Amino acid sequence: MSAPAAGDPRPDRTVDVVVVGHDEAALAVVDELRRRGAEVVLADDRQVQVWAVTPLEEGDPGSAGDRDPAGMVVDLAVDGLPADVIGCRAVVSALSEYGTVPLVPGGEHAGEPGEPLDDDVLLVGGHLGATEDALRHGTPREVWLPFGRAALLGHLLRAPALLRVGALPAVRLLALLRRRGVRVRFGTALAAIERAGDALRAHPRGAGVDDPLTVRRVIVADSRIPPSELARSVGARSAWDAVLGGWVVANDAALLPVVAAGAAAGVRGPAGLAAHGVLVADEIATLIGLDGGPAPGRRTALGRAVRRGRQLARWQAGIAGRTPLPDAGTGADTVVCPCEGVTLGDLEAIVPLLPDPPTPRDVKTVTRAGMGLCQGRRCAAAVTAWAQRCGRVSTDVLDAGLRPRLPLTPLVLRAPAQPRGHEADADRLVKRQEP
Amino acid sequence: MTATSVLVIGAGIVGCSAAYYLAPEADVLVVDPMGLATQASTQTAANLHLQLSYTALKGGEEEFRRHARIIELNDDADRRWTALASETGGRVKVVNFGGIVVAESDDDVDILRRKVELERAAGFTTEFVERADLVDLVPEVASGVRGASWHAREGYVDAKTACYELARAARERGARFDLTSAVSGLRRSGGRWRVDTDPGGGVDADIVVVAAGAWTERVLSPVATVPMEVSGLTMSVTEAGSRRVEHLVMHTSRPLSVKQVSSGNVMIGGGRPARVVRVEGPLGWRTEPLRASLRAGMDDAVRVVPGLDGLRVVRSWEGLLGSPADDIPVIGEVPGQPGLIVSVAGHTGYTLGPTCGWAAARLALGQDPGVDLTPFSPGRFAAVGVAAGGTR
Ligand SMILES: Cc1cc2nc3c(=O)[nH]c(=O)nc-3n(C[C@H](O)[C@H](O)[C@H](O)COP(=O)(O)OP(=O)(O)OC[C@H]3O[C@@H](n4cnc5c(N)ncnc54)[C@H](O)[C@@H]3O)c2cc1C
Repeated sequence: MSAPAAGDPRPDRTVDVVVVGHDEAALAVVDELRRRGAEVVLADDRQVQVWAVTPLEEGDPGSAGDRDPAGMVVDLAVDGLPADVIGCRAVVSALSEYGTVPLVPGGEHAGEPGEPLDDDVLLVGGHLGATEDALRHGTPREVWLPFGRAALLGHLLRAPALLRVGALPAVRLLALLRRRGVRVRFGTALAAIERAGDALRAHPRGAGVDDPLTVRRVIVADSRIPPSELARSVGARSAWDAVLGGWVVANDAALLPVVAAGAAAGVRGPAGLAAHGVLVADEIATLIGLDGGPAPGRRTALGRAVRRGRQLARWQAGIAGRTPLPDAGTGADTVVCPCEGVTLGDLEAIVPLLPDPPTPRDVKTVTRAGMGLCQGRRCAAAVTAWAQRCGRVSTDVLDAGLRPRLPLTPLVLRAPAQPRGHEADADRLVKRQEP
Repeated sequence: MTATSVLVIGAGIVGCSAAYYLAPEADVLVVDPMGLATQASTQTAANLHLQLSYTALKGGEEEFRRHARIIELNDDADRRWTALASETGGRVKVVNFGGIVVAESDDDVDILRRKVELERAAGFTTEFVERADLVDLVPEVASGVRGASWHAREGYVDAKTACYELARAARERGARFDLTSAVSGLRRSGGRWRVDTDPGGGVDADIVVVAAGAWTERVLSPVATVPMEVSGLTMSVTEAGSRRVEHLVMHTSRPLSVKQVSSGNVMIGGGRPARVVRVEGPLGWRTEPLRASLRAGMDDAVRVVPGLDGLRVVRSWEGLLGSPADDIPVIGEVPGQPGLIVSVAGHTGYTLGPTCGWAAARLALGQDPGVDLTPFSPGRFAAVGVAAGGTR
């Protein structure tokens, strides 16, 4: 197993899909894709780490040839050492948050893949698992957390029992960071990254700080940075495309084609994770053109996912608003809801329409923020923070705010393939599909 | 104790439009414990239903004629939505792209033909569309659809914003909204209405407009009886996609409504049931999803409109529909209770919302609503009321 030179995307081997994670969602994706004949690698994140995912251009060595999309190369490491370089057509991240895949500007390796963390690394975001993982392999120079110290501990203590186990690691983590002498900046988000020679200069945004840090590498480990901020921070341009119904990232190297499964997509609970895993496998199968219809029973499992989801929703409602929205200098074009293309400017514009005091629900209804594909998982915190910053929303109405609704994840409308109930209709459908 | 000339109970489409029409001429206060349009008027599919639904066909022709009395309200509502759109400079968004009820079986074709015949006799402008003409009129429906009934003025309203726009306009004209109080009691005292609110010190009002939708019976219970039936309904919505459906599509014998709204999302409704659970709290009910309803709704939708294939459903929800027990709107002053006005429509209550609000506003101001409200009087339950009152 050889570590490629920086920027060399040549893989050791090529499969259809790499699934990163180890929980029920990851296993369900793997099972389901294998059942359909796909070649899948499960990268168990307890043993291996994903150091980088690099999208391939058409014609790159190792690209999946004329297949679309061109594919990706995943660099895996074990205990900080380069382990495997795998080419694939899709990556499923079944880690606990969207952002746990290290992100480097322009999709290039800003350092050797699999290289141990050293003091030339900045870790932003504060996802506990990712931060802890990173610390196992070295000591970053700084850690930037978007929330205050009190908020971090506070919201973990309020988490439902299912999630409260996180409180202990949080305390442990902060102690560890202090012992190692890592500078932790609370209430600080990533505003921008620029190239500075061979290194990267990261600009913070937050409580009055303007003290950039020059490092060789930045790892983003949080999903709560508004994605446009993230895209912007790595220099990507994005534009709202009404036809596609989404933000189109002009420099698509910044946001990698990684599919989130299970906890990474906001689903909790074993049944929910497994159900979601199967759904994701369905989507991947469609994406890369595997045969076979949707697995039977997936909707039943989804019902169970919903019940688990409610617990999560309550917890999310609780933490919403405790995560500050990057504000100083945040432009009106900052995207608050990436699914529906709602910007800070849009929020400001609808104030006159809202009752006083407005609830986050009012904001959602009027702007559509939180009504898109992710159903508020990415924007709930930002919308609530904004509403609170307007000083008009009291905390006891936050529960009326954004909450994931059933189905927790998209179900796809499909013309029935098998006759069911309405025999005549099914018949007709089959006929319709004939040329 | 707050004082107002007109108190509107409920901030759904009926309450917001009543406030909109009242505000220029009266001192108005709207109370609702939950916020602006948080219940049926936001859970709704907000289809403009101007032909009668399959439910009206279930009980024979006598029953059908009873439902057909709604026509005058329908016509008024159609005009009123158009006017609201222009009065708000297009901010109340109304789309009249035509609606079609499809028949997939020969039996359903027969039912539809009869429905169109009866509707036309009653003055509706519904038309029957033969299979051969469907291709031109509504190309998006499946080739297995054998016939349909068509109403050119059907469509939908953007219910996400309509109540907000009406409430804003009402506020600009001086109406007040208290969106954190529930009405907990109602009585006549010294020639005025004494209304208890929770929390709060209560409201003194000359006129009370009960626009409490599914909660009408409960709010009125201290002084009158309007029996309501409450049911849970299921809705789903897909992600936004390219244009695939340019009409409101419904079904003769299956609860289905499909339309693609201007943002590109496809809404699937039609009245599939959800579970209704009694709970503590100001509203007393909550709804829970039924998987069978979700699934049947999605399957029917993609079967009838094959172009939906591949769209992702991003959200499903349930809503609580309150309908007068006899399924006919109740609009009017409660007999023997001067200044107590009720306005609730039920199944097509969103369509009729502005008409319900307008009529209530006119009655509150002692003016002619311009539509014949005789068939809709709350007085028809008076006999029931006395009996029920006796046991209270
Ligand atoms: C899922 C669904 C789909 C529908 N689809 C359609 C459709 O396509 N087309 C159509 O025409 N109709 C449709 N309807 C029906 C229509 O939406 C309703 O009839 C209409 O919205 C009712 O409006 P409303 O103002 O009377 O009631 P609501 O909007 O329910 O408002 C009543 C208000 O009263 C408040 N309230 C309750 N108790 C109290 C109290 N004690 N004190 C003060 N306030 C109180 C509530 O909080 C609520 O805000 C649908 C309904 C549902 C549930």
